Amino acid sequence: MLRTITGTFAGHGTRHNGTLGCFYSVIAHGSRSGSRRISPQLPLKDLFAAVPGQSAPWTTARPPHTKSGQFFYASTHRLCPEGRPSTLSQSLTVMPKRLYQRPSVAWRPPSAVARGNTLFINHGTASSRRVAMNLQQQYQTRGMANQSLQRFNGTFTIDSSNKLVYPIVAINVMVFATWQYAEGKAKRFQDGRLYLFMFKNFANSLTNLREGRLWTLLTSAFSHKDWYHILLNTVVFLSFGPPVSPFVSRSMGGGPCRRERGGGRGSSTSVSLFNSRWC
Amino acid sequence: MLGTRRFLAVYLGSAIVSSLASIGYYAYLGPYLRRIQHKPEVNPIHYSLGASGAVMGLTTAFACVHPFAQYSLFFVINMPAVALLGLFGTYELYNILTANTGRFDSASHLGGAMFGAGYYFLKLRPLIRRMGR
Repeated sequence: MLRTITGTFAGHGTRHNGTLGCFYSVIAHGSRSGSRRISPQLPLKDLFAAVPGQSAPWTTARPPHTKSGQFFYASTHRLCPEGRPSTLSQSLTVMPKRLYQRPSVAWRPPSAVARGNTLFINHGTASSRRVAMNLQQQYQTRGMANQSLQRFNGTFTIDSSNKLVYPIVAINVMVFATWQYAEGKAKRFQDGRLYLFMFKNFANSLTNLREGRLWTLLTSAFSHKDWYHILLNTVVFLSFGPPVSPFVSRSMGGGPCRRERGGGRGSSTSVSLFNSRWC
Repeated sequence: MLGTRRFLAVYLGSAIVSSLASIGYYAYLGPYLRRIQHKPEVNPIHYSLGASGAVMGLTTAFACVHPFAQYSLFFVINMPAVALLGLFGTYELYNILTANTGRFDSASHLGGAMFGAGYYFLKLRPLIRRMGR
């Protein structure tokens, strides 16, 4: 489930009485999908009838047609207590797709926005993932520096589709910690037993091979002794796993899945070599 | 695209091959090259460790499948993956042939890279052909 933090730009959302969060809406006006989903004239009376002492401002409103509980009307802006800062845990808002494609319509500074009386929370859906992809591709085409940054970002994206990347990194880090511990113990306390054990079982040498410890061929691939070594290897390992350039991988290598191509113009996602699925 | 089993196969296989290459180089080829080039002998007891060979195998397999995927060297210089790997491989080869052994185990890198390339040519390319890209 993808959750973007774009909601933080929408103004100061505040936590309110046990609801997940609240924002005053910047998107209810002027966007087709936004107006489809949210209409600011809709009442919030029933939802907040339980809130004591605050009933007047939205009595003219009518409960919205929420679609299977995906959208929740939390509160009006006026309902929000002033002065509480928004936190990331409350900003679960994911903008509709159309807003990303037309940012000039959608993004207004909060001061320019009329006091919208609608607040909504959208938990990330399958479409929101596509939305983020579109945004990424849009930013990717904007300029050289931006591209570089984007590439930096993209190469360090956490790709959880591969079940092996993070276990391998975790094993590496554990063995590295053991190396550090053993080295420290040997140097500080003159207790080199663990250090010797590590050299016998986690390093790759001819003597180890001659003495029959064949597993050192394999275990040495998971052991690092120095900071820069594990850092460099992990950076390279993580950077080559996830997809980097959707355009390139579309044109050159294994293209996007056909079912993912359905979104039309720019909605195809890239498929990396190391995704654990066939396309 | 590469399944979990193949991923593991590439990683472990290139690890083993790179370890063997490192041992072979430091035990036999390195002293020989040093004798030829009249360089001083080094301590024959040598330990090498690190996932570099395995990582090189993975990256080489990746670069073979997506040769023109853009990568940025030090996040500034953009170049396709095949150029990146080619430059790095050339540098390793130079290091090996001149017996230029620092803390940088070039032989294991090159062994892992060779395993990755071999795995691509033997296994992945027929598979990709069969899947019709």
